[in-house]
Amino acid sequence: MKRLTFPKSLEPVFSALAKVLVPAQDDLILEGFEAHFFFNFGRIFNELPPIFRWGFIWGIRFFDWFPVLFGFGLNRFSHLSFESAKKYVDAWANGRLGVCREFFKTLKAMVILVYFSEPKVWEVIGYAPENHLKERIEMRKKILSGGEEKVHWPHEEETNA
Amino acid sequence: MIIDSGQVTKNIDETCDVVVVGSGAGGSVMAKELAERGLSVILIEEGGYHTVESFNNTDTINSLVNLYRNAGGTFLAGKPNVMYAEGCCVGGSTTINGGMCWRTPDKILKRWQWEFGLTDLTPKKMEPFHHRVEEIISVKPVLQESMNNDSMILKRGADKLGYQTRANLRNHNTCVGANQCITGCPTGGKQPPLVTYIPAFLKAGGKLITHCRVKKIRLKNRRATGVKGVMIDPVTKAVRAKVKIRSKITIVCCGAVQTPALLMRSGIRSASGALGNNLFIHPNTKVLGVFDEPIYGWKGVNQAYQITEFIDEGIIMGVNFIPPGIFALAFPFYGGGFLNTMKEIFNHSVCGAALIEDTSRGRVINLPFDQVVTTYQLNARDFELAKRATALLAEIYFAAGAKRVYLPFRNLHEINSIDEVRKIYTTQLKPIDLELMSVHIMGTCRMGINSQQSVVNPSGELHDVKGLFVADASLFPSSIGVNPQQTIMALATRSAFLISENISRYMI
Repeated sequence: MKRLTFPKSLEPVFSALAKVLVPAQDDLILEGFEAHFFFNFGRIFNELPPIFRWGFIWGIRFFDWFPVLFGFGLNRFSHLSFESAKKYVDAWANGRLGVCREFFKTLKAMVILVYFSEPKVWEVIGYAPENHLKERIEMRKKILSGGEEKVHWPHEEETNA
Repeated sequence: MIIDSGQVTKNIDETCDVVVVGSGAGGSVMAKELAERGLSVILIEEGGYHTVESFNNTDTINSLVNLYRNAGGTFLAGKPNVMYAEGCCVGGSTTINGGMCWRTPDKILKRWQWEFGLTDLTPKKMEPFHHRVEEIISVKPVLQESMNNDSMILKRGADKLGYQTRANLRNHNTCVGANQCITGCPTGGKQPPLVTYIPAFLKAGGKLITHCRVKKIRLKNRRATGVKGVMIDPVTKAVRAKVKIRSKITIVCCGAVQTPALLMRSGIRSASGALGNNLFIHPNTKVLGVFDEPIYGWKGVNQAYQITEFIDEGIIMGVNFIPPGIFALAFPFYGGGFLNTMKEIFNHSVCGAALIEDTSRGRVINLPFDQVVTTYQLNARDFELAKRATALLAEIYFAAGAKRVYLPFRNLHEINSIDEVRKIYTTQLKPIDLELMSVHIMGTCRMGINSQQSVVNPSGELHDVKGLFVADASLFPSSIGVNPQQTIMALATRSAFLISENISRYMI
């Protein structure tokens, strides 16, 4: 049986959803961003158990095709205007149906996780682990090559005081 | 010797003394201790073998895909659903944990003695096993150089309120606080089994098979005779070869979800009816505190302190940095301003969690095609405890100078002063409104002397199947209220000693 992977046809839905969940800002350079976002999204999706992958895909299709059930006319979610899309997302997030709320929570978690794992977003929020990592690796080398290891033990400080 | 699915061209058919399934806290210890006693041991791991050098990048998604089961997308169904994380790589969850080391609390051991007849598990009798583990994985306090602001802020708040804190003991050798513990330590400072027990196991002549999923335990006349499994391609997930291992002793160490699932899949039933039941999870509530001062939680060690003032009530608290992708999940909101909010607070916030010693129970259920579902229902006592833990953590943040605290409740997201902490009690909250997560899954094959009450005997062997042992957190008869890594390792050391003392019984 062929393994179910993340279908390209769903990319516009996630693109629209990401725009609603985390609207882009001027200081975020978007060049090449979407391609990397979908690459990572696909990697996470492909690791999920088969039953979740099937459920997820059909859930997304339902989410995309049936704004009509929530009073948004015969448009697909990915074709809605930004304002309507936002209202539609609110209806899923805060609606009465627990199944919809839970599904949306999963959907939101996946988008947010992948979005905020993008190095370009890290730059915007001020997270720069690469340099920190290099510094710490150097620091460890220095300590191991003869420096003294000072253990932080507050009880000692108290005793000394 | 390491065999990976990438190298395999034909089916594997091997014979050995001991086969160990799972290379985490329990499996790695068992494999090393038994291999060093001259037994031929094969260690099987479903995930891949990733070296410290391979962690020298900061790609969160890469780590989730390579090191976590289902890329971290595992959850317990219930009200509320609870996300949980477990490792799926050589070293198991020890490769991706914060490295906190606690000996089993005396009160827990006493409870196990009374309720489950585990009279050999006294603090005194467990001492040599804990000591051995502590030496091998270098358990000690954190270094001064690695201290970071978020831990100091937590301590500042706790000190102001007169709450007791504990400078954490961690398994490290010159950890300098790269703070990438949960995505694999890139400096080699953390000393999980990946860099301690596994190399010693390989040196002792052990054989490690990676990317191998065990499907069934082979049984003959109520005796385990090995395992059957498949080698899996890590990318396509296609089956590359079949694996058959014949052994005298079989040890299952796949964690509290996968271990009972594998036993049940193999047709094993426990007379006690406890197999797969009594799942405990140490529910965690995540609470974010926002401060005016810059904090940079990612610069420094993970959880230098824990607040232990409420340990007798079943609550311990700590702060730990989590990468932005996971950090952002703590916010209930979305839309315009989300990115700006993250920009404003990311380097000014402290992310803390309160761990609860739970009494709620969950269950592991097998589905067709090797799929597993886990359920967990938070009871009223634990819900109240979760609320109290959240309130206490919020109070500590405000005492330390927080200007805003984000809470894990759907209908109470944010409070802005210490006076508003009371809202946690006055707002109408239901368990389903609570966001929980877990990283400590325990107790589905509990240990005890009575086969009508427990799944395995005090040495870790199944009451109902000879030559079949369990050595992971599923052994725990109850929730233990502290980080379980060291307890699992000490119990596995003890089991390995008992097996080697009585080896003639199994070498038939």
